[in-house]
Amino acid sequence: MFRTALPFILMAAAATAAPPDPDALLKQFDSLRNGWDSYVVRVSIRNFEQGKQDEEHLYEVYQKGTEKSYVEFLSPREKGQHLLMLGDDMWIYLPDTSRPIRITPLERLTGNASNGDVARTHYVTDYIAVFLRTETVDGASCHLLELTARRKGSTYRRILLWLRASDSRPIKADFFAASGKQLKSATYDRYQEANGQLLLRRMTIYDHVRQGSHSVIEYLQFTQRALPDRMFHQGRSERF
Amino acid sequence: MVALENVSRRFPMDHQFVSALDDISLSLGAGEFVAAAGPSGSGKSTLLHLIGCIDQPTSGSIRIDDVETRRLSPAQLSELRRRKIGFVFQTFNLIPVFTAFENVEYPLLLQRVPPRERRERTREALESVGLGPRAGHRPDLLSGGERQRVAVARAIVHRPALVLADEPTANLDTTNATQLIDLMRALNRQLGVTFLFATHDPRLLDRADRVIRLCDGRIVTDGAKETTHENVSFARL
Amino acid sequence: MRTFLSLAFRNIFRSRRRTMMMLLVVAGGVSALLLAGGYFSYIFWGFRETTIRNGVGHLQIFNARYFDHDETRVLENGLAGFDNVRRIAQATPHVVGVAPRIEFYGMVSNGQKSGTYMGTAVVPAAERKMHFVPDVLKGHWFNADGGENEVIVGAGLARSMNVKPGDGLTLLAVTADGALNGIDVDVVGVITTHFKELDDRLLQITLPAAQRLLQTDRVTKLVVGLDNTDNTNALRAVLTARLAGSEPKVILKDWQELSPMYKQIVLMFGGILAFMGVIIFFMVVMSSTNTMMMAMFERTREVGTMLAMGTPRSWVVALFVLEGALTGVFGAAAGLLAGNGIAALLNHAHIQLPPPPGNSTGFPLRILHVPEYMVLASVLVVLTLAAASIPPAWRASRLKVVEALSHV
Repeated sequence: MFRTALPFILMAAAATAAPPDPDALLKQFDSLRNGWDSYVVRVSIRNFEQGKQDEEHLYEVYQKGTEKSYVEFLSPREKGQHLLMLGDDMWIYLPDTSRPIRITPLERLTGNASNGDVARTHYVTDYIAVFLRTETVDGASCHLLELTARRKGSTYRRILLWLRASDSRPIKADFFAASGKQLKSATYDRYQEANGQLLLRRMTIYDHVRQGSHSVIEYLQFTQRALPDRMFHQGRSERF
Repeated sequence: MVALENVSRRFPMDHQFVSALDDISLSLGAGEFVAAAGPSGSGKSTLLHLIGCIDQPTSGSIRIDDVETRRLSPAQLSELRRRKIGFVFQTFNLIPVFTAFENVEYPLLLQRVPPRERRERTREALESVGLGPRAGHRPDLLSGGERQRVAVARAIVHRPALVLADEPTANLDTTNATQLIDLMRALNRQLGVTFLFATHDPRLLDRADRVIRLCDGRIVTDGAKETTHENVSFARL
Repeated sequence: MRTFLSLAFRNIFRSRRRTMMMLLVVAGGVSALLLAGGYFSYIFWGFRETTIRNGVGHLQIFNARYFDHDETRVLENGLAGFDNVRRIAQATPHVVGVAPRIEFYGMVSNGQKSGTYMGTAVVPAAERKMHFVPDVLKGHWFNADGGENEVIVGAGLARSMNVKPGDGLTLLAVTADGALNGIDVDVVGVITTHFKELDDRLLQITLPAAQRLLQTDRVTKLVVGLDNTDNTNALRAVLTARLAGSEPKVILKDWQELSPMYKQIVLMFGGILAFMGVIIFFMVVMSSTNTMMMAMFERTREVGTMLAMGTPRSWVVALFVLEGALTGVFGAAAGLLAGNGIAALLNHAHIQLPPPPGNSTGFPLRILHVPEYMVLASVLVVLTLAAASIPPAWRASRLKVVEALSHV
């Protein structure tokens, strides 16, 4: 009797023991913020300090592939500023100045959102993913991935990402600096649909160093659009 | 004026005692010119030290002007010496950086005599030893005889009751020695100061009114000077 | 009394050679202290004046609440409406000039590379009046009407941004209400403060340019320059009184409070000098006590005679101590002569010294003549020798007369 049951037992064991593919999971995660190869998204960021909110910051993010992004600052006080990412380099352009200022993805854009959180959202190219384990978070079974930076332009050195086992949706993430110190954590709160694509609607980033400080990022409007290369060039002449 | 009663002075040496003076009794009157004679080691220097209050007897009593010296504190003894005693030494013992004048002046300084009086009396003392003109010289510019005369002037300038001279002529030639002896005799007569010498110089013994002979720490004879010299030893140490 | 003094004096010179040796040791000790003290004083003076001239000034006037807490936004604790304060300060006697300053920081870019800068915004005419013009290596400092688009760059920053006069830079800063702003500026000069850490980050722009960059009309402080550093304390009291009634409410600080390093340097060197003093004290005592003991033994018979004649023992002690003290006095005099003489010679020689830590240029050796040190060293040495003479003096007073008289 045991001998005939053995193959079934083995098969069942094999089925439950198969580890998830981290690369596939990460690719799926990326697609929640990058629905197409070339697109435009309007982003709103609100910063909360001890519960008090400052004025809303608006951005228009133009993304082409994984290596080029261009961010236009729309808020009245920041009007005229731009951010440009090419490969591992990033610059900020200020109105009335003739030279861009080189910046890093980790530097603050606004509140708890780094430049990279808005302009550099392709994790597959930036990080090596390793599946650590499956554990329960808030009652749901989650796959825990450890992401390690593979490029010098990567925003963070290390990220821990929890994805729900059932539908692979991200539940939360922890972000670490090169020293190993945890800088922030994020929750992925709401989703939306556009053109048949499941996209992230809202995420919240929490400051891990200072208590009571967090920023809410809302992806207001995703639009697929073909973007010309000349939009992503370093000089100051007209982009459009 | 000076009275010794059963005075002994013992020194410890190699687990034993040496008696420099053994049961001495004598007395000196004012104005006497006395010699203490005896071979070296007879105790004559010790006798002078004890009378001069620069040493204390091991036993017995010494009275100076009716004051028991054993009762006095070191400071009081010092005061006694200051006022009542003058010293003359074999080696002159003048302060080399002082002039003759300043050396003679010193005992008056010790008694805080006012400057004008000091100068007067010093000059007088120097005149009386015949060194008026040489008073400004330091001892190294004076001859042996002159130095000892300065010492004598110093010893009498403060009109002490008693002058103690330990072998005063030992380092002088005959001429100077004779001069010194005459000088001291003259002063003794003039000032009425008691002189006590320790000596084995026959020239001095000859001039003494009284000779106290010592041998091995005891008085052998004590009386008017003898005219014979055979018993006097010439051992000079 | 006079005779004793004379006796002590003559006793000192009894043995010429021995006295010369002792005087040499004592004079050497005094000279060493004077030279070291004079040199340290020069260093204090140099550091003080450099600190003041490097822009700290003599006094600084801040908003009264400036030191209450750190700023979260630039110029949050700045001085608003400072013209009134400036007028009052300028009208005070002994005040040479009053210069408004803004201190700020941010990022600077040459187009390819970014760096951070520590910026100071100045009013060139006011700075010139107080001679706060830094040393220019290339180009020139701001002219009297220094342009709004001009920047002066520290040598280290110029090197890392690879700019020279004529090149351009973009300055980025966070404004007084937290927004990001930038201006283009042209390099007109490269300067050095002689402190490497400052040169690596320093830049200067004019006040209007900073106010445009930071979007504010406040200043960080007013720097007050006086005609003489010695007037600092007095003027601080005068200005505090004069500004007490008016708006805005201010607080004053002097250069010493603003430069804690100065106080630390003075303390450190003061400690070194004190340590030297102790060592010299011991050396003088060691060499003197022995010499004086020997001299005392040679006078054993003499002392015995004096004691025999009824000299109080306390007089004997006093005599020897007096001799020690007198030797100290002569030694001190010789030391003062030698010390000041050597100092004068060294000053004349114009020797150049290597740069001190943190600085980038050397400076000439100078030794100041400081009366306080002269008095201190002299007193120290006289007391030292008096103290060193106590053991022999005590021995002398304890001599047994009879033994002393028979001493050779």
